[in-house]
Amino acid sequence: MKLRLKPAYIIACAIGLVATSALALDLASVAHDRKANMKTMGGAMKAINEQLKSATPDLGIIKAQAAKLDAGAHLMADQFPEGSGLKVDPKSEALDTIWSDKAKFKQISDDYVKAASNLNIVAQAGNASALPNAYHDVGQACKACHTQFKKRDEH
Amino acid sequence: MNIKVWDLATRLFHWALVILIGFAWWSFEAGHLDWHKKAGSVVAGLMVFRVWWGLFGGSTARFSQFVRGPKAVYDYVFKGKKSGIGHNPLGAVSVIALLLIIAAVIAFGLFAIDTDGLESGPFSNLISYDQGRLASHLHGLAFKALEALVVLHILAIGFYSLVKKQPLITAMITGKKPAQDGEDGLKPANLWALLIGLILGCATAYGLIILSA
Repeated sequence: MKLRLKPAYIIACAIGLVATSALALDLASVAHDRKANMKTMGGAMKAINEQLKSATPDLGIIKAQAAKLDAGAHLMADQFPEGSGLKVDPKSEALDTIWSDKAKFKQISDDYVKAASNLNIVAQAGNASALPNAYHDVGQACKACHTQFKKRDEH
Repeated sequence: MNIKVWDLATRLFHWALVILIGFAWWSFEAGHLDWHKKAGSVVAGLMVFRVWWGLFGGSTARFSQFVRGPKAVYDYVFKGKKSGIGHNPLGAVSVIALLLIIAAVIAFGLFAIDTDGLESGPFSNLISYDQGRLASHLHGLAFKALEALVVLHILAIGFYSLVKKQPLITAMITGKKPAQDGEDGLKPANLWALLIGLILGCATAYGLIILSA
């Protein structure tokens, strides 16, 4: 009896293992994509900032980067599944509070999405005088979330 | 009888560096990146002045006077050879290490970018976001190395003050120390050397403050 059950156990275990590792792989790839998206958005912030500081800002660059930022912000909603932090990426800077305080995280990340959308709208409209404030709001939204939900940047 | 070992410019440089690096550390920790960048700019100006002063300053501040080879360090440490006034051969190694690491902290800081792409060093526009993040990381690592050197520096001063009974801190404040046999005071620099050094230092600090605004 036991002998006959053994293959079944093995198969069940194998399926379980494959399933969990596939899930973990999936979470790891989400973490990877999230990091890439954050870098893209950080790069967009840098590029817009440089134009805003410039004496001759290039509106074309601002429009393109603001669109990139907006698109990245909308990707974020699916980029923080539970377990996609340190568990799958030892270098992850995503704090566990993201999942222990989901309501707060959602509120604060929604604020960011709103700010990024607004910046994009202002940029596409070519509303140069409203750009600095819109940019500032996005920056504050970045910071607000990073302060609470991202491992502190030591340097 | 006391003799003069450190000119006023060297002493002011030293204590301004202590205060400004401390302030730069605090302003970063407290999240005042605008002040952090201003402090860093002034430190850069101080460093430019110090290099100039190392070439044309008072005798004890000059690199040619205090930077000696490994043999001089060996003779000083193991044979107790006298070294004259100013930095001893081993202390000179520490001074050069401190100056180099501060230069590295500044150099990386000029290109650093924060995680949000919001705050950045004045030359970060020349490089990508990823490279800027790397510069920021190296800026922090170099500062850790500086912290270690500062601890070593303070321990060494404690050793000389308490064990060897040499009033080093007093000397860095008043510029004077008790004379030993056959010792003369420092040879001061020319006024024009001081003026040019001040102009170079101030121009560097001012320029970087404007660029990082």
